[in-house]
Amino acid sequence: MRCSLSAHQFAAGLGAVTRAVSPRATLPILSNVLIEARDGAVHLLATNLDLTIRHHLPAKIDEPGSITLPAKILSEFVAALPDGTMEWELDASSQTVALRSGPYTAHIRGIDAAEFPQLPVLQGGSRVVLDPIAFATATEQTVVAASVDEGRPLYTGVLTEVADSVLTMVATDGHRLAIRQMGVPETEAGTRTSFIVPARALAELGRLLRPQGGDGAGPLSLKLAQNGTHITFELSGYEVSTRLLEGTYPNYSKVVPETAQTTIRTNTKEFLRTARVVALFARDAANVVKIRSEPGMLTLSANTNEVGDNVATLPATIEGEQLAIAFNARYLLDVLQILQTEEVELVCNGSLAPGLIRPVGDDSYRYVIMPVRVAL
Amino acid sequence: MSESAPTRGRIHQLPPSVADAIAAGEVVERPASVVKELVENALDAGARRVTIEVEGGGLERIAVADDGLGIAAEELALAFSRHATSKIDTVGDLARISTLGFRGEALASIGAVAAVEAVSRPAGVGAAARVTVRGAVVTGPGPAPGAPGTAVTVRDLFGTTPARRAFLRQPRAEAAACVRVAAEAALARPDVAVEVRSEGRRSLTTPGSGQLRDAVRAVFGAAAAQGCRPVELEHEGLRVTGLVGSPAVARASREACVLLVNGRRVHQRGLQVAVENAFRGLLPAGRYPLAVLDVRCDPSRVDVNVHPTKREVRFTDERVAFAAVERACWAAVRGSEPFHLALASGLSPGGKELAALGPPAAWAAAPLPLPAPGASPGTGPGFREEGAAPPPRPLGLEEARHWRPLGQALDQYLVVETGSGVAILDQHAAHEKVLYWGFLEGLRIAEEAAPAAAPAPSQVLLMPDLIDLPPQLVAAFPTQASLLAGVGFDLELFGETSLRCTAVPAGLPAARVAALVEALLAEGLATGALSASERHHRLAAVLACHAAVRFGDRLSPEGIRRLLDDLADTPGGLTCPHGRPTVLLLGDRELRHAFGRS
Ligand SMILES: Nc1ncnc2c1ncn2[C@@H]1O[C@H](COP(=O)(O)OP(=O)(O)OP(=O)(O)O)[C@@H](O)[C@H]1O
Ligand SMILES: [Mg+2]
Repeated sequence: MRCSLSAHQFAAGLGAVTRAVSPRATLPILSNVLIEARDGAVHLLATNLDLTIRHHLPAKIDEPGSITLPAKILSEFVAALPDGTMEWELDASSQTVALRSGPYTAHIRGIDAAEFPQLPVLQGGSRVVLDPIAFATATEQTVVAASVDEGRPLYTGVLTEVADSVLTMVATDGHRLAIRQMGVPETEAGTRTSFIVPARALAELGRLLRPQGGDGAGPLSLKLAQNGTHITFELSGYEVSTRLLEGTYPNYSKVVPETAQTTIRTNTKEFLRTARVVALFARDAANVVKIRSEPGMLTLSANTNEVGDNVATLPATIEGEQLAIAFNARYLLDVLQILQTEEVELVCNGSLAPGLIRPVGDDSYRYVIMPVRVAL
Repeated sequence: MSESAPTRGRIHQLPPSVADAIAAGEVVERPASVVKELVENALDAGARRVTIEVEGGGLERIAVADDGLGIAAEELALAFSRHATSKIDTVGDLARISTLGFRGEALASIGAVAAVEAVSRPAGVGAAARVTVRGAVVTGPGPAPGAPGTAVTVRDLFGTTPARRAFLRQPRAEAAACVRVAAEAALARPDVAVEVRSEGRRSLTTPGSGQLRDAVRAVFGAAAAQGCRPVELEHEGLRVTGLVGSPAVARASREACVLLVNGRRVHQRGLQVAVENAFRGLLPAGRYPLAVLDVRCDPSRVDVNVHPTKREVRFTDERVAFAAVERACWAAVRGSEPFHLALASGLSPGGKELAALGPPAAWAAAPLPLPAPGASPGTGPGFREEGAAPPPRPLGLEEARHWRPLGQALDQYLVVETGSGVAILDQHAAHEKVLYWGFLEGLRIAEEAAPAAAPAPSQVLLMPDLIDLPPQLVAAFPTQASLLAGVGFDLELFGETSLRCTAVPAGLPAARVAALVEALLAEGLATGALSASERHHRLAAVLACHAAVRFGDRLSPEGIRRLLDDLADTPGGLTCPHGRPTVLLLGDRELRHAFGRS
């Protein structure tokens, strides 16, 4: 293998691909990146077997070939290089790559590409095309409600449904639920599909989408594999594939409140700041912040035996009955942090019924938060 | 027992009215009983130095010599007759006993079952006198050589009552019991120098410095002495003093818990339980606290005349004594020093294996400051206070607040720089203890308040959770229902093999609810056999175990910081609720040593 390409492009691509490398890989070779030179491009691939990220970038190929190199040292080396042309030459007998860029030369020993695990190649299946930035936002707004605890695997995933040109993403950890909808500009007519994507894979995808999408990258296309066990997201030179979670997602439709005994409207940023300050005093496991409506304002309070207590108020418009309710501060902060509208609405039906948080003027997002029962 | 200057009246025969009021029974059950009685006599006589020798398991020979007041020649024979004592006069005296002896029984009982020789010389008298006793027949007194004080030698114990000998254990075990009794006396009176020789070999020497820690060092070893924390607490007129070992120096048996009431060694089950309660959640199963504690109170509040060998006493209010001991121990032990990770002294040839980690041998007590030299002894009763210098770290892990997290290793351990080395935390154990304490507080508060007044915070679930359980656990549910409700569960029967859950204790990850409910039901906590505090302990331990981050969970830097802070706030944070360490310290000193730096 012999080729040359832009050091900067390679560094950026490698940085994205290596997000799939697990710091504690189960197989030593999974700490490596697979690098293939063929067809006028260099193809990069990293995987932890659940999540796989592929990328290809243009290169001048003098002699095709492939190798796997340790992701960590390779990333560190190329990230430190000034931009310029980087030349690659593989010595097949020693499986060592010579990397040259301007005055810098490095020799990195790799492992034969033949030892890299064969990954299933997805073919066919349905295809959906999405706006990358909108999808990144939707991802961020749902992933936040997913569980990180493997005890209930389905809850670590995001239910993703496409029906009638609308994509709906849903995540829950059993205590709160996020629902986000977005239009799908291009779908094959009548596409109806539903699958559960691991939240971790979506989070990685979101990170990848932000800088890429910002550069005016092409639309994201979502490709679902034929056998239904994997999904691939494609975006200008990148491909993120992940295993899907199997199972029947709980029926969430009934938990979204449809009535509104109390509707509270307030400034999102101020609500976030107040909740953050008050939450400092909600330090035990229960992490409880109490919310009480008063005419024209909200009172937030928290107390812990060891720390003490803390009360704060913020202006708010209140419609309907007076409210006293308690939430896990974490769940409240999580959602307030990711809302982009200036104002937010909290809709409640008494202190033990689900609360609904939604951005004012944006009907595409709903966040249901279950109260904590305490002495109010 | 009495540290005031010993004085005493003449030995006299108690009138039958008094003698009959004394708890009667067998005084000499085994060789160790002889040692106990003779040593107590020496201590009552104001001895500064007591020497004890045991041979042939105590059956061949027991000799106890002291430098106390001595017995006048003309009283020597009387001392061996029943109900002859110099320590009380009237029935009323029984209510204000301040000596170890009071029955006038011990010497007579020994004289009845052995060949005894007593040589005594009172202070200020030119010569000693001797009596010999065999089969309760006293011969003498006659002149004999002897230093001031008293020496009693007992030979051929139970020689004429072979049936009694049949009940004894191997001589080695009997000798060990003798040494133990002597050691307990030495611990009770650190101001008296005690020397014990068993089968010709010296087995214990205490310096008589007045410092309890010195006596503990002599009896239990240097590591134990270093790992002890001073106990000092007053509760409703009772004063508890002494030393209690931090969890790192806990023992495999209950023998290292030496309890004294007004200086008298007692085997009081209730007080023993009080000590163990204080250690609940600090020691693994099968480990017991090391403690030497003296409970002091007005003699009128404790009846010592209830058991023929004075093994037990009766408090006018046992619960007060129990609470005093439990609180005193907890106050001392909650600030115990964290465990040290012991590096093996020699490096293996490969230089690889630094430490052979076999718990608990690899845990060592953190060194405690030695008492300041020349510290003025306290004046009150009980054990004298050690040097006035307070320990540098008032609470065990309080300084964890100032530790600098370096990161997480293997998603299992937190690695932290301390002021003087490196600490490694077991993230699950540490978090478990933090949560345990929170749950325990909640349970206590809930119990103290009216049950319904402040229910534990409860997270309502988005969708009801069906928990499938083995039928026997579902069958057990009704009896446990209110207990589970008290900690925040909303559960109801749903068919024969499941429960429907609509709310869970707040702070619990939703994914673990089923496992937790199963564990709680399996624990069978609603049985009446458990005390409230034991039930709270178990409940909190199960809750904490399921709610805590797991060994293998990735933690954020903020999460690590917060865990350290929370652990610093958690009393007894050095162990998890099951008594395993949460933190192991590796000091700069040890590291330098292991790396071969001077
Ligand atoms: N080592 C000793 N030094 C001085 N006096 C002693 C010593 N041993 C015994 N006596 C005297 O002999 C008396 C009888 O001793 P003995 O042990 O039989 O009874 P006691 O100590 O009075 O009561 P108890 O039976 O409860 O031990 C004591 O009251 C004490 O006056
Ligand atoms: Mg006596």
